[in-house]
Amino acid sequence: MGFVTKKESYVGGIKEISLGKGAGAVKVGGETCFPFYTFEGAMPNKPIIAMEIWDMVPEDWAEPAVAPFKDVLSDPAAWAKRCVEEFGADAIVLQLKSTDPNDKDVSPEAAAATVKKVLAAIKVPLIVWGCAVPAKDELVLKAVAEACQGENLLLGPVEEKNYKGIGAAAMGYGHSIIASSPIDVNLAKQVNILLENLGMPMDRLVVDPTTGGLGYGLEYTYSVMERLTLAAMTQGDEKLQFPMINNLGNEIWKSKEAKQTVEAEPILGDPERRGVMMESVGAVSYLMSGSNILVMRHPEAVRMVREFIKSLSGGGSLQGVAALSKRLPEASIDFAAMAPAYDLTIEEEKKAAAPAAKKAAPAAAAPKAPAAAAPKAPAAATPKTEAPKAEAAPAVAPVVDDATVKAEAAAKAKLEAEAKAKADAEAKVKAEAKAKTDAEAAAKAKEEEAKKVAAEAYAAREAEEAAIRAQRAQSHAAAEEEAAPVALGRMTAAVVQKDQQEKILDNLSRIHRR
Amino acid sequence: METASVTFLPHNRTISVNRGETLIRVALRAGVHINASCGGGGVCGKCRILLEEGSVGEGVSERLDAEDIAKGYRLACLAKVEGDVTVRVPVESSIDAAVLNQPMTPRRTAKIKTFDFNSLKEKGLFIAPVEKIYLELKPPDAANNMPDVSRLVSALRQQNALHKLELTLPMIRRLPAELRRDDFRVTATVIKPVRDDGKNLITNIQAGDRSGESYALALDIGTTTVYMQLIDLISGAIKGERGDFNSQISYGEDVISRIMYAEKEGGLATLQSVIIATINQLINKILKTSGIDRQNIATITIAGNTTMTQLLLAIDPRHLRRAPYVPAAMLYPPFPASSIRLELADHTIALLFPQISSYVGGDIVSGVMGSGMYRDSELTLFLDIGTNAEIVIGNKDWLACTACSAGPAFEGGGIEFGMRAAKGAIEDFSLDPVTWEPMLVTVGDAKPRGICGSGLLTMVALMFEMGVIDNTGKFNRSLKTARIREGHHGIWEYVLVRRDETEIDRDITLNELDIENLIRAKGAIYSGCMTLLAEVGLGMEQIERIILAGGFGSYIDLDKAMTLGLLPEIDPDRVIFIGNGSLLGTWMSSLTNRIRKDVVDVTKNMTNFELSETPSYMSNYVAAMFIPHTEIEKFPRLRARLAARRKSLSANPA
Repeated sequence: MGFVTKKESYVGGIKEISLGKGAGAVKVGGETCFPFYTFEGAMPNKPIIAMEIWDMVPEDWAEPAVAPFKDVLSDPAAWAKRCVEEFGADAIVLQLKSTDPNDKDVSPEAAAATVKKVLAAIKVPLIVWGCAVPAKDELVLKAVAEACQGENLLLGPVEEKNYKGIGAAAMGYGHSIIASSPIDVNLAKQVNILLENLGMPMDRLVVDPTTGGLGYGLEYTYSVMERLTLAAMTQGDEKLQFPMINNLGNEIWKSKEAKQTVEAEPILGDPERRGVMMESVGAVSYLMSGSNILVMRHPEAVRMVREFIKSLSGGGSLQGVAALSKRLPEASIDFAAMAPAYDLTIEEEKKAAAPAAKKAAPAAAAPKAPAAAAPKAPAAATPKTEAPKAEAAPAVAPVVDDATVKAEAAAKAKLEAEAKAKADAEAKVKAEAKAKTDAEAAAKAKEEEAKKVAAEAYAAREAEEAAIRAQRAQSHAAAEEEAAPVALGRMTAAVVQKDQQEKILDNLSRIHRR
Repeated sequence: METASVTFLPHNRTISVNRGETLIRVALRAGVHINASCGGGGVCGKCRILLEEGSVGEGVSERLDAEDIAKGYRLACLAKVEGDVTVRVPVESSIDAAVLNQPMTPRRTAKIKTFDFNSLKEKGLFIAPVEKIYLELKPPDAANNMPDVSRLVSALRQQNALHKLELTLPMIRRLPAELRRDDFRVTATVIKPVRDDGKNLITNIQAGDRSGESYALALDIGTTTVYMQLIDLISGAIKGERGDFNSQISYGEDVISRIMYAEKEGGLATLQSVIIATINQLINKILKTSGIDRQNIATITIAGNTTMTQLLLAIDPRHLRRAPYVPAAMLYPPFPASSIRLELADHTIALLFPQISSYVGGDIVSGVMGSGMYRDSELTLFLDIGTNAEIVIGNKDWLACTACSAGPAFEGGGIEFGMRAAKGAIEDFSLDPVTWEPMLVTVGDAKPRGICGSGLLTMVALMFEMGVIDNTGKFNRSLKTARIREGHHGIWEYVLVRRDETEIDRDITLNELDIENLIRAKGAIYSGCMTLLAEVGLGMEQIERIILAGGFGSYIDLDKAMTLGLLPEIDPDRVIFIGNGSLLGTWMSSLTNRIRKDVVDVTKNMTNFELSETPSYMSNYVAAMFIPHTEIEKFPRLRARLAARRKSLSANPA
């Protein structure tokens, strides 16, 4: 029988959601396993990458992010077209930044017109992202929904504060929506319930858990997404079985580290490489935690992450993937000049002494272990007597914990001695062969000799480690015995199953001094 | 009381009621909606009903003209049931039968559990704590001139087989005179030991036979109110009961502000003398009305939260409000009541209920003792709902407790038109499913002044179930009614009573912030229970019984409390209300030493959890900030009702 992977079986799966319409429609979600765990279930739709475009010329974008789009920044339709045709975007996210009431405060009608323009320019699905001011988004997204009736746009973010208006419009005009909540499993579920109660069809819902940038809260989003996936898969929570979207590029590229020029922070290296890598690393992290739609900005990051998705879901190597191709000239930075001066004070020597002593200790222990193993090696010639002995040892083991460790160590030493004996025997055979052939055999013998030495060295290391483990276990057990003589007795008493009452009392005594 | 049957048409719902009840309250109980907005005083004239069969008493006001009255119209809020009657509720629009038959849950309040002395005796829980023994001693003469004390002690030993006797100095002081006042016929007060090997303490001596006069006081010191009972130790009867506001209120409404005041120069002494003055007033009033001699009071048993207890004893409470929240003591020794200037005889002994932690105090311990949950095997959830909600979970084998800050919403605090359950407070509510017009009754059937806790709970639960608010407590703005409107500062509200029908000359409304406060309060309590259960490895579904304590519990409609997610969904028959649990415990403890014997073990076995130190609390809290809860699966009955409602609405769109 070959190796069998341990498989987890899940009680739920992610719903499959369709974006866009007609030939350009794209499906997301539908997986019945954790991200890329295709040995446990199916992942019918790979995660997609949606590239973001803005409805206004971005003013504070870093130079590396501007470079690929320099000539189209003022024309959202052309920008979208480039993303799809040149950079292979699976979908387009139109960020309606201009509608922000604290900025340009563009009217819902004007925003809807922009959406229509972009929609006409592309065949891939269109995601419309508001300015994240709930009241304004409600007005804008309602207008967009009406203007683009039946196009099955993905509209968001929809929050607890504006779910009624946007939800109703999406239902009425045939769009899907993004339910957004601030990095919390319960709040995510609450928005979904509200939308369901409103009557929103649950096959038109995508969840935005609120995305943290790399170094700016990514880990919070990551763990919430993991919990959402866990709830969907292992608990079968129907209210959480939705594909997830991460508005990633926006977060990554607004961080200080992604924007700083080489002059401002030379130690962070080439700004273009830095930004693209930050976006790629962020994207990969979110893929691992269950993202279905990544909203990204830089075409190079998009390319690399796409290759990553491809190889992770279809197999293959990433070695052939081209490295980042730069659009901007390489920044020249003299790192050596920035390196701190060597510190050669005497204190360092003192510190160095300690590890040396540590090294010496195992070295001293080493000869002892092979010595113990060696006398048993001849006995290994009769393995039959050896085997029951090895079996007998664990039989007595369960009584005392450290005895188990000892027995294991002994058994291991024996096995290693056997291996050594085998190596010896092989060497002997080879030595006979040496008599027949000369040069070739000599080389082989040499090789075997080397192998033997290696095997011996390995056996020695193993024995050494086993000895150290045994020694540690012994001293640990001794210390434990000294501290609490009853501890050992308690460990053997797992025969009787505790009832709930006893478990509760155990639980309480953890914190209560009765 | 004589009953009668009332039938409402077109609902065709019949209910059996006590004669003399007003029709409007009967209708509310039956789940029949009648528009009514003036609280039940016959002012608005909206609650017109038509008599079809039988008759009612009164029910007439200037709001009805002679023609209407002749036709049989009456006002439901004024009409009193005198016999079997059938009335028709006029419907303003052609209401679909499906809407009419929407299940309106009838009102259900918790079963009130009362305890009596005989049941204590039957259960073998009675161990007399105080004995008054009448003795006829032989007067001294030349042949027998042994001291008075020896004379008394030897008589008790020989005649009453009382050993291990101990005396107090005040008693000895009184002894020579009392003995000679009635020719050596005296009554001795003996405080019995709590433990079998303890000593019998002779605390008082009175001339003549006073053995029939044995009394004790039970005292509950709440942050807001103080209650006292005078108990006859021989019959177990309550001879007098009185309550008053805690005068410390002027120095801060909650325990934290009291502690802060106590930390000021002279603050602690002030707070102590203020509460003692409150108690002394109660003692004097209660003794005066009952006509009982101060000398006959043997003990005063006191329960209060940890802060109240420490303030009473003038023990600096500053560490109670600072992490890691350490109280001064768990157990307090008995002490002479007069030593803290309580106006009681110098032999009267004060007994204090022990404290568990800074926020779970003697009042809760007393409630647990009084409810008897510590003796039963059922897994019980004990809830004392007030500004602070205390939660105890467990049974005879283990107990775990915690306190959570619910905020004052249940007492009307933090609610724009919130008020205590006093005259004019809206206490019950119903809603027309088509016109969204309200039906409300007030405490004392007076013109509305505000909303009390139970009214608020009923309102919000009902609005949620009828789709007027969503799970987060926000109004459905697309409903066709002028009552839902945008109020001040853009906050949406529902107009309960229009200005001209109120007592306060302002529209009485319920707004989204009020609802938010209520959701916070109920969320804090429910998540406290969840966290406590999870910490011991249990779930809500394992709760077998709920005991509600505190003033609020008696009025709440249990189904509404479960709809809202304040209480877990369990069979309402398994919910018991014990009223003032703290006072109940002191009453019992005054009557039997069994409680005093058990309380030490119970206190030591109760595991306290600080929610602020329990990491899962925050997540549970967020999950509970939703009506009824983010995990609707935990509320299967409500879930089924909501599904049925949705189905009937989609079948018959109104």
